[in-house]
Amino acid sequence: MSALKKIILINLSLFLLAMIAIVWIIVHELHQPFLQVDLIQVSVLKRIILVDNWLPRFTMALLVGGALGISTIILQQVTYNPLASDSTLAVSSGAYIALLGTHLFIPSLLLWLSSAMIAFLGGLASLLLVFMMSYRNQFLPIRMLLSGLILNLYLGALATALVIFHPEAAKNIFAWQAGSLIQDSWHDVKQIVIVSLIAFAILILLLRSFEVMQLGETQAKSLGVSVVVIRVVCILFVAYLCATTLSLVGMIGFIGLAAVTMINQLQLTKAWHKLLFSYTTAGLILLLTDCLLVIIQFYCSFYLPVGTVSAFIGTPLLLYLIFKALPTTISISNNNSLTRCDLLTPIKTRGHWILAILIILILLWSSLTISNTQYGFISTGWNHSLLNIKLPRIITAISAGIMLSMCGVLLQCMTHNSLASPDLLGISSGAAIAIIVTVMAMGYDIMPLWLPGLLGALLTFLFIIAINIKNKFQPEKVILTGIAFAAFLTALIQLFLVTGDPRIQYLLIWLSGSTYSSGLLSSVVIFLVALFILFILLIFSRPISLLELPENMSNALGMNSNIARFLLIVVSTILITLATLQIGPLSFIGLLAPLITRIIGYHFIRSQLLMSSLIGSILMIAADWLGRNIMFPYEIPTGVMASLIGGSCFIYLIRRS
Amino acid sequence: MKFKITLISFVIVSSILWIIHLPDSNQDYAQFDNPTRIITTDWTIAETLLALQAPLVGVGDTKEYATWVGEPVLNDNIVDLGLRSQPNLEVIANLKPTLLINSTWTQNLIPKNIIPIKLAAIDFYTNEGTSWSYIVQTTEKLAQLVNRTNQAQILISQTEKQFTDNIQRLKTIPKQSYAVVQFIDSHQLRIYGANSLYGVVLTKLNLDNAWQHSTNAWGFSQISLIDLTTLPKNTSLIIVKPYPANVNQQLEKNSLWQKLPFSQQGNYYILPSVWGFGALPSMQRFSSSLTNALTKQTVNTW
Repeated sequence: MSALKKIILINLSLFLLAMIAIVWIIVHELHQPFLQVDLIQVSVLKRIILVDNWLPRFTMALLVGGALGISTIILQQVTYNPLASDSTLAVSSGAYIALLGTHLFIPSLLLWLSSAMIAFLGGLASLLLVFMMSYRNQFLPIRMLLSGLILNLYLGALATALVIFHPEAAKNIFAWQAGSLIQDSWHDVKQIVIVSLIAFAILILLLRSFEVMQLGETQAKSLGVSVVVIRVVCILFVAYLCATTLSLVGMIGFIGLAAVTMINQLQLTKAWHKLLFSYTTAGLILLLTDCLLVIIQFYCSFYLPVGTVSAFIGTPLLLYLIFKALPTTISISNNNSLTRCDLLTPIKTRGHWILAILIILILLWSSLTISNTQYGFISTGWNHSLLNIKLPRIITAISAGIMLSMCGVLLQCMTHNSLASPDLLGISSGAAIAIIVTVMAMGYDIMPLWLPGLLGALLTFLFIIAINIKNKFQPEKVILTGIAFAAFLTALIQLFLVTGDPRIQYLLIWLSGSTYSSGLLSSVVIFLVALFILFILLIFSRPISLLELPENMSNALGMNSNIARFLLIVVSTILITLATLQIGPLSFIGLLAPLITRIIGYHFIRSQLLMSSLIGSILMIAADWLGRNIMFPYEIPTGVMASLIGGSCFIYLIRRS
Repeated sequence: MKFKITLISFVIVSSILWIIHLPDSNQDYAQFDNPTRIITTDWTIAETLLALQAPLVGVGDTKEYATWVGEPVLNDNIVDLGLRSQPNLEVIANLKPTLLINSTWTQNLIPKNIIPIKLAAIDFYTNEGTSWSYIVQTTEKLAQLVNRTNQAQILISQTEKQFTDNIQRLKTIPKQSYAVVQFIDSHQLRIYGANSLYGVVLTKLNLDNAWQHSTNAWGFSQISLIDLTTLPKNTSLIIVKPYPANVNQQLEKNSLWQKLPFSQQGNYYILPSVWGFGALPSMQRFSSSLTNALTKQTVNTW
């Protein structure tokens, strides 16, 4: 059977299933026996419900799904990347943060601009940022993907901060974020029809270029197609399409990715086949999913927004993609200019060490002896009761900084990739997932949250080992697994937010990484553990540095690189678990500290470990201090603050490099 | 490179100078001779303590309190403790309070033994929402804790009296049922059952609550616009503020809403915001603003 026949068959069966589900819903809604439905006898009210509620909802599902499907296939075509989609390139998180900010700070803007417009501006801005971050690399697909994912994380931290400070108002946004297709009129449908028509017009114009682009980047270039221009046009177009759908129905992730993965597996040859069937398949999948959720609601009376469910489906899909569909030739290991640059210009000064230690001392001293009060800043001296509060937090922050920085150095060395970071390994997400599940299943009264956290981290770690053992811990795949876990965590948090439970606030704060409740004893213990691991790593710095060489070379030098990698992953996991329990699953410290270390000219493992530990500590003390004082007396959790500082620096650095 | 070093050293030197010039804290700015100094991060406890005239010195998130609770107004002497979920420990330490009252859940979040303070937990809501008798009982418990039992009796009888007054005023309006809702956006809303603050007030005013289905532990269900069609025929909608700025604009384009009886003038009432998870003071406010709206004494528009 040819690929074309197969995809037509799939579409037909999806269509049939969806029709059955729709008939089921209508019959259930009308309370009339099947096959004897008499539309004339239906009451006025029921007719209103049918015409203004269900029919636009079904139409909306098809159109939204289609729009997301076509956006995804276009993104994948122009970036040559089977992992690109609206949810992986930060379009949706950009749109979300724009709407959140507008609702919280300038609600009157909503009366002037439609929320679709605001979402579009946000989505476009974040896409432009991804562009700027990957501009120097000629939009290298992998660099773009990583930039998108990192921006996703950064915007996530920003959203958390906003939600923490405006808990009551933010509840409205949660409902939007969950992604629901409920319609009450044809108004929104009309809007999306207009947008889709414009989209089709643009697509017809671009169709020829797509055919050429399919041949590959170099061929396309030699045939006179300006790849960069087409990319820019397409991505603007995708931002427009996605932002409009998202502002109307909220976040519905991974539907496009699911449909397009199916299409890619079938290997259709013609570009317009691909586009057409991406549209129909994604539309039908979303319609069917939504109908099934409605039927579940009829019989079990619990409501699940389709966006949340699609995000859940997304994780296994992403994992499947990583291990099956993603060709091994695609590698994140970019020989990026940063590393080469360092090797050419090794700088070595004693000044750095003295400067770093001096900064730490000054930060420590001022952080401990200056307090903000409702009367302004005052010097408290060595006030015992205040020290009692501050010291544990600062020590905890420092330890987390040291651990994350070490971990970052190890990962970056192992993966030959200066963009690897502990957040992207997934262990921290695993720990957070376990904690949320525990709280959801067993209630909030279980206070030692660290226990499920540790278990979750260990299970994730075992899982990562299990699925990576065949790939011999191929570094890229390990990190992509982590990204999948982070996506799952986001979906889970969404599900929890949508329940409207007022206590979610507290969980959010924990997740955002607060050093708030650290005790003196536990913080000192953590600090000693961090120093101990640093010591051990320094002793073994020579064998570790061999891993930086290509694999065949390090093997030739008498190193069993598989065992070494395994050991290093174990150490990294321990470090990440400890740090996550202190400051939450996200922060860019592990990415940033090693990066800065490289930029200022350290490329031996030993000095890298030491220097990035110092830089990590500086960043964390600064984050803690700023978090406590920027919005005094409202405290921004250290983890969020670290993500915001780290993320901003990172976006700046990656643009410069 | 030289520029960077100059910049860094400039920052260091200026921060040292700044530190030296800071005022000293040796004058104790937060010392009063009050025997008990109470703080809380729970707005429901805060409003009750204010109504009981207890010596309240600090409340969590006073900025948002003004928007969401409003009355009773926090006077200027009451210090902002920061986030309700994570009050600023340094501020608390400087305030030198003697008693921290919170709900059980919040109390667990505040690290113990860091600040010398007596802790007490008071819950106005159980896992099944709340009820009139439970709120009265809890108010009395709280009053006992802060030595204000007389004031508690006054507050309770005051509230009861207001209810009977309002019942008198409501006698003139025709009998129908009421659904108390808050708009999340133009598609979804929260509807409050009998075990919510609004529901308790409706019962006390002998008004019928149109929402008889189950609710969550905070007394509300999240529904979509279509579910409003299942309400009894002669129902009026009580819309409690706040709602997103563009809700009215979007509802005008919403054909389902336009066809629902509630969109017609006179079938809905808009009330100013009242803390939906509050206690007696919030009940008093809701009761009087509801009566004012139903007897058409005050008419709020979108």
